[in-house]
Amino acid sequence: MSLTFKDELRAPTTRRTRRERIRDSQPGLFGIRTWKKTRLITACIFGAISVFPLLYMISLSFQPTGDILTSHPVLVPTRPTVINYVQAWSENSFGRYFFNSMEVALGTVLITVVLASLAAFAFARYNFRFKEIIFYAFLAALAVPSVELIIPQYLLVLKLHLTDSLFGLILIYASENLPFSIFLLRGFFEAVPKELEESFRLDGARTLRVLTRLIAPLSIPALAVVAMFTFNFAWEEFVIALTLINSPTHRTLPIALNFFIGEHTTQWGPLFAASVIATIPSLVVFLISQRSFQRGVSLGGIR
Amino acid sequence: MSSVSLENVTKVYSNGYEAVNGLDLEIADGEFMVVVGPSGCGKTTVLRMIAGLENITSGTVRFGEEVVNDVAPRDRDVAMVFQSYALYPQMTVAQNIGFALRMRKVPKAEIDRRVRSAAEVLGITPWLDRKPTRLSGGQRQRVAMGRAIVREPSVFLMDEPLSNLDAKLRVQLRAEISRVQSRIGVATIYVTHDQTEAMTLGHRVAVLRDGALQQCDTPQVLYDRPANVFVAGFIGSPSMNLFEAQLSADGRSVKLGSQSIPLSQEVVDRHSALRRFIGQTIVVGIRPEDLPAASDERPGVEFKGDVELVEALGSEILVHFRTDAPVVVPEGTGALIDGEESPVKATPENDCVARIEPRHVVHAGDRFCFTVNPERLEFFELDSGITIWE
Repeated sequence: MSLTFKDELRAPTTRRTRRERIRDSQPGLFGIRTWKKTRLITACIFGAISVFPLLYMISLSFQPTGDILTSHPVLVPTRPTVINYVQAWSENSFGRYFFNSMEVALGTVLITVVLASLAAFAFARYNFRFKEIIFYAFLAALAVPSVELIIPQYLLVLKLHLTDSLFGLILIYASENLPFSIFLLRGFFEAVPKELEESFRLDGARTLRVLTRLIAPLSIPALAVVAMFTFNFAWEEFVIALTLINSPTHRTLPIALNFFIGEHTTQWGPLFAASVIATIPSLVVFLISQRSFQRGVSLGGIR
Repeated sequence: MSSVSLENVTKVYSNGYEAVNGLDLEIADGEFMVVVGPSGCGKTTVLRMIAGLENITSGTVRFGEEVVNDVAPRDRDVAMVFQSYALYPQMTVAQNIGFALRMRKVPKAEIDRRVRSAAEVLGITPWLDRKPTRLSGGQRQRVAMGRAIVREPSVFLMDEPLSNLDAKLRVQLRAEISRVQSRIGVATIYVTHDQTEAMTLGHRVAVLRDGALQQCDTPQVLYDRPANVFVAGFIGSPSMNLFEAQLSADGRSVKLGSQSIPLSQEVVDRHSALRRFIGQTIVVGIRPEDLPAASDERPGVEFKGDVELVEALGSEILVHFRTDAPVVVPEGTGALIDGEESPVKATPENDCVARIEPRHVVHAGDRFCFTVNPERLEFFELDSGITIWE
């Protein structure tokens, strides 16, 4: 208001530059430009803080062990080498662990997405006895710290004769991820207008097709979030895997990384190289999911 | 293709609300039936029960000879156009239209051919590759129609398909729906709260109120011989003027307030049941179009009123007036008697409307003289609101 007033006072007498006019036309304590600058700088600082460890890890993975353990660490390798990567991949059947982890993570994502979708569909679209009680029972599981469940889970897996198997691990991981996934998907599924489903059924679709061809495609952002969280959980989980897996051939990546840390010596170079390799799938999954968010958001405005 | 028949159909929701009560309705093969009534009268519930989207509490729904009460929606072979169109946002227009055919495993070439021909009929060919979110309201409505007709269903259902559109588009698409329906020639049930749509589209119109059928007949019969005051008030725009009136002791005249309208022998003979109401208060209905201005060349009974508001529409003048005769407003019609084209009434209570030719000069505050043709009067019982005829 005051700016407009000022504009009116000044306009007839002085000619201002375009820059001045833009600055004055933007309201706010400092004007929008200043605010934008502040925001950018803040974002850069926080971005740098979170990216730095990643960059440092990548940098160290290309340095010979001798260079890593110096009193003057450098960010840019002085004598870059890929020996750590060769060593990490060839020793300790690291490749095998990588694929074990991939199997576990993808299996967990598959089971979680399928089961959570089915459960969320039932919660969102059907009325049955004790519906809300069952739903809150699922949510209550979120309140229990996962570590406390290790012993019961171990006993359960033991009874199912699934100890030391990747499938047992997948089941446990899926069960850990289901409550949150169901909670998230139910909200999204409920937002799909009922009339779309009715029209689908009149067009000849059965219940399962309503879920796979209508509700799931319209809930891609939510499914992407579920897939991403579940993948990351299964990919980096350590404690449960350490408890359930005994034989070396069934180890997953986080356990394998732990083996670079010996009782007396730690192979720092290969450890960092292995860590970088271990990070790549998470990044890829994140990038893929991010594209799905955008695609899903552009589907909005259903009515 | 098949006929649809509803026998004593009742719907009670789980909360105890009775939406439809003992409805009997026959829709012949190829017939365009419009179900009309104010909001909450149960008309959409009727449609949803025919589609199978709503369970039937009691009664029978038949398609042809087959009882379909327990047949799943997908097996009923009905197509439905929803009020919100319910287009699938993740599919293109062509995919939307062809979806039902894909579900029926129709060969791809055949789907393409039928989608194209439906698109041509509705003039939506240029948008076949677009997503529905990028279409305007009228275009979406056409796609929804296309999706329904491409299936060549045996029953066609439409739930207020025009209510989300602006007035001009509505008139245009109304004509289009009529054209498409006569072309595909299947039993069609069309739900609306707009009496203009009902009158212009329906071969027959069923008027519903509080879940009960009031009258079901051709638009002209509904207009000429409404079964009760509700139908009289609901059909026609502006709606019929309904007055409380005294039938004289000899049964040869009715007294509206201080004004008396003599009834000819012909009228008395035609409405023979009037004899039972001699000396009693009844309801007399006069359509606005049956209240022309008094003039020398148009002999008739004079009927005077105090003009309150004049609305010149160019082709005609709507004169809102008041008399000393009490006005009857049937329950449930109050909010909806005005169709989209009719002006909003200034004073809903005690307000009467006449439709006169534009050459007359009328001003608010005048005492204006109309002409009544006693042959055009309608008579109703005061308590039940039922028409007094033979």
